[in-house]
Amino acid sequence: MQEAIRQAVLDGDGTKTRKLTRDALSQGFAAQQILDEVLTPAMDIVGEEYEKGERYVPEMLMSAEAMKSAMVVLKPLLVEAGVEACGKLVIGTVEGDLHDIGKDLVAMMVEGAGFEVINLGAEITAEQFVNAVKEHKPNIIGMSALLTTTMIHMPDVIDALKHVGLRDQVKVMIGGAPVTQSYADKIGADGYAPDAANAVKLAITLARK
Amino acid sequence: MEKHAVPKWQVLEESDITHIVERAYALLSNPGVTVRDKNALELMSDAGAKVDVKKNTVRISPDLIDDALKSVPKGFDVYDHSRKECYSLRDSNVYFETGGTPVYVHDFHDPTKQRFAVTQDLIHHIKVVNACNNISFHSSLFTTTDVPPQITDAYRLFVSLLFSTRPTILTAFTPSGYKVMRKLLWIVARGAERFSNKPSHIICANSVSPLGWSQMSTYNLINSARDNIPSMAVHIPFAGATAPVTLAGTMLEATAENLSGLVIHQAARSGARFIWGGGACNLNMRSATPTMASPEAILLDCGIIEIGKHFRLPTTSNLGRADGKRIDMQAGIESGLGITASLLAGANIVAGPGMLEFASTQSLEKLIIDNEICGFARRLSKGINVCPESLAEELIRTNKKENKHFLTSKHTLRFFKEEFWEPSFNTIDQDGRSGKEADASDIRERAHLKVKNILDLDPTKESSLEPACVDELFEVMEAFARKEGMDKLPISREEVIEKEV
Repeated sequence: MQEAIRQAVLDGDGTKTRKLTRDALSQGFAAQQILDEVLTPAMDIVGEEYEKGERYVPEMLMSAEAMKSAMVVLKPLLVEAGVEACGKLVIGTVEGDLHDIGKDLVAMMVEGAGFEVINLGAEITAEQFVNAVKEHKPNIIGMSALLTTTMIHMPDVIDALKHVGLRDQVKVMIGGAPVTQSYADKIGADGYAPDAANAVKLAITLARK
Repeated sequence: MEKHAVPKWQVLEESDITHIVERAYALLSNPGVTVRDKNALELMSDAGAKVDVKKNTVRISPDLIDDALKSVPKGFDVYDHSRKECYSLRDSNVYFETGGTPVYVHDFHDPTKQRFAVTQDLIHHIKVVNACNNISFHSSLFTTTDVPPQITDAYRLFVSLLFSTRPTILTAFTPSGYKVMRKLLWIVARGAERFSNKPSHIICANSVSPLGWSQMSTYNLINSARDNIPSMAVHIPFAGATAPVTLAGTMLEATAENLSGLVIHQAARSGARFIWGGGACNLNMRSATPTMASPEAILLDCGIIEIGKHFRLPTTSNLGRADGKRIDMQAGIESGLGITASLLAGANIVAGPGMLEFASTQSLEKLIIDNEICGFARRLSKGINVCPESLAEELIRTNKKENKHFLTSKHTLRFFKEEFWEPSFNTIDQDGRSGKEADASDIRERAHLKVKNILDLDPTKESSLEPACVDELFEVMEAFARKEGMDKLPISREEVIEKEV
């Protein structure tokens, strides 16, 4: 059964993953056991294969979707059992930037890794990021920008968090085509990831800090 | 998904082709062609041509040409050495070949160094070609300097039979070399008949422009026809030097040369398999060197291919070569445009990948890059498929309504590998994630790394042929070498026979 679920996630088959997850629960497997022993390791394989060039972006995302469809079944049971998500990420594309595919990929993959993700969407102002941090109390905020003309709003968000005294309570990760590690260092972000698979690793590292 | 419109490039109108062919017929009647081989002159006289033995000229009547065009097969199949993979030389099926007989090799360890090739270079080259998914044919390649010149034609075939898996284009330099080559081919095919049924090699014969055939060219042409080995006639008139400066005039000359080769070939054996050859280029009027990658060379080769296709014959071209000496933007432009043009023109065999400096130099790194260019151009030539499924109208409507992108659509998953070309070796940089921090490598460095990986993965000299077959090949090759004064070949059968694990 565990192998079948793992394979369904690797195949990106959401319908099958959901059905098998239900079957596993009815056979007595605990929700947390399915998450920790099957789904999360399957997504680790997906991330590793993507990094090695053995898996393409659409295949990786279909696996993340399959994981998500299993989580729809498991989440109420996990909440009931008092199991907390491994972290909470608030994510958005910065002010003036409509490009949200990269940000959505990160959202999906991080969610697939067991995080609770609040996807704010595109063109998110510093004020909106701050309000979301106040409301959702995430461990991490993720900012994305595709343009050199919009990445300059990333430090505005960090400054706004500092201004309201929330900077120490949340880690900041950034990404997007023009963004680099050196830019992250320059503006005082806590981390940079070049792609969605690395964003998952970074989110896990930051959530543990 | 169904296949629909395919891009094509035509440089001649149908009326141009008819006119050129008509004038080529006239040239073959008067003045005819020079043939410097007594046997070929006899053969042509017996076939009904007007032969002047003293002047070595052969005048070919329209009837003889028409008969040859009727008897020659309109396409045929070639196989890899195992006789499993089939390459159909007909219609607009395009296969790439490492071009011709280069004099030099770029040293793998120091690519700035150009030197004569030795056996190890030939083995390295074969191994890299074996790893290239877009290079289907191997050319006869280097004449290695570690064996006597008299045996180089047979020796390079011997090495290629030991290590290559690809169908190969050959040429013999001497009649004795030809006879040894024929023996080697039949050993691997396990007999002349089996070779003839599924040929894995093609003999190339070059004319001598204008309108001439050397003794050895006709020897190759006639004997390959008689031995049931497919033949390829390649004509390399230089516009402005060995052909008129005008492209039309050069094309006319090449057409007459092709037709004369065909008539000689079919006179040797009616129905023998024949490939119509391109290769014309122009002379650079400042340096007096031929420019094989010029716009004129591309136009000439594509025009000659069109004329061959007019007769429904399999065709070959010399496009995709670079005139530049280095792997740089010039080489990329020249090979990229030549390879693309040859695909759009539908040449069946394109002899160019790996070549630099007017086809005098082969480079392993360029071969890797050209393999990618071939894949790129192949995708271009596939064109755009328009059908309800590919239009995806309903998907656009649904995703727009639901404000969803297409990355997670099943349609994307189903078709992205079919619709998008993907480089084979990661030498083409399409990765927006890397290269931002100023540590990006250039394409030559990436290609060098790929070559190193291929050679590191297979450092041995073991052949995949059966030991008994290897023994037979060595026996024939060693006897030929001894006859020409070489006691020991640069490669031993102990190195070649696969060790049992």
